[in-house]
Amino acid sequence: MEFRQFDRESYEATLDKWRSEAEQYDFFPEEVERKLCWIDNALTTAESAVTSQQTVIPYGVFQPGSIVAAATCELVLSDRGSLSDKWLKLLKVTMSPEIEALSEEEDLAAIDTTIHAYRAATLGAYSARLEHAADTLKLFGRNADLQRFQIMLMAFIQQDPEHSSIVASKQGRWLVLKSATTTEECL
Amino acid sequence: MSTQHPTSAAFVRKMQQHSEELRCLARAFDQAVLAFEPQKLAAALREEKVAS
Repeated sequence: MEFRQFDRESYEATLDKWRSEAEQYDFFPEEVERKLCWIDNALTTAESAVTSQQTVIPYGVFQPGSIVAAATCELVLSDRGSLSDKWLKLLKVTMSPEIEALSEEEDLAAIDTTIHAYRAATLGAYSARLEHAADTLKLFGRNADLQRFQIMLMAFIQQDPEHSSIVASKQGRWLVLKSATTTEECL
Repeated sequence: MSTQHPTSAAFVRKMQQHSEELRCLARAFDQAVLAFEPQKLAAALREEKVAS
């Protein structure tokens, strides 16, 4: 799966597809519009070149070559000046209505797609932090289950003796990932 | 500026190091998913429903 930024074309294609999926799976199409309107706002803000300390960057997880997202990923770049004060935050991963509906029915292929999408979002966001000149990625744990998963992820990251370059720590509801090497270079 | 480490070599080294970090993170992620059970992670990512 590919992790990449939304543009107008992929946003509109995703909105159309998610609307039709909502109708097919008994969701409200208006709910889909509400779920995706932040992307429209972020694209409009980017087009008007408004700068802010908290810039919303719309990313999605796409099947290779597709312009319809399987999941949306809400990233926020917090910029308070210096590199050490610049963080990329992954706030939320939202699956398409079809994948969400099928996951609820415990469809294994849909669950597999969900896992791969979250994996692509995490790894993609970690990689993207460099493109946005940030040294830290923060993953938001919006509910208890996601926080438990993040604690487990942190434990595995920290027990890897071969690669100690990723430093993971828990800060409240956030799992914070950064490169130890970057940290050293910043000091 | 040192001539022993041209910018391109430094960049390649940085990218190699970054790829290693990503591989490490990928492995950690897979282990965490297995330990947590994929269904639980899928449920955690689902939109929370508001009871009517």
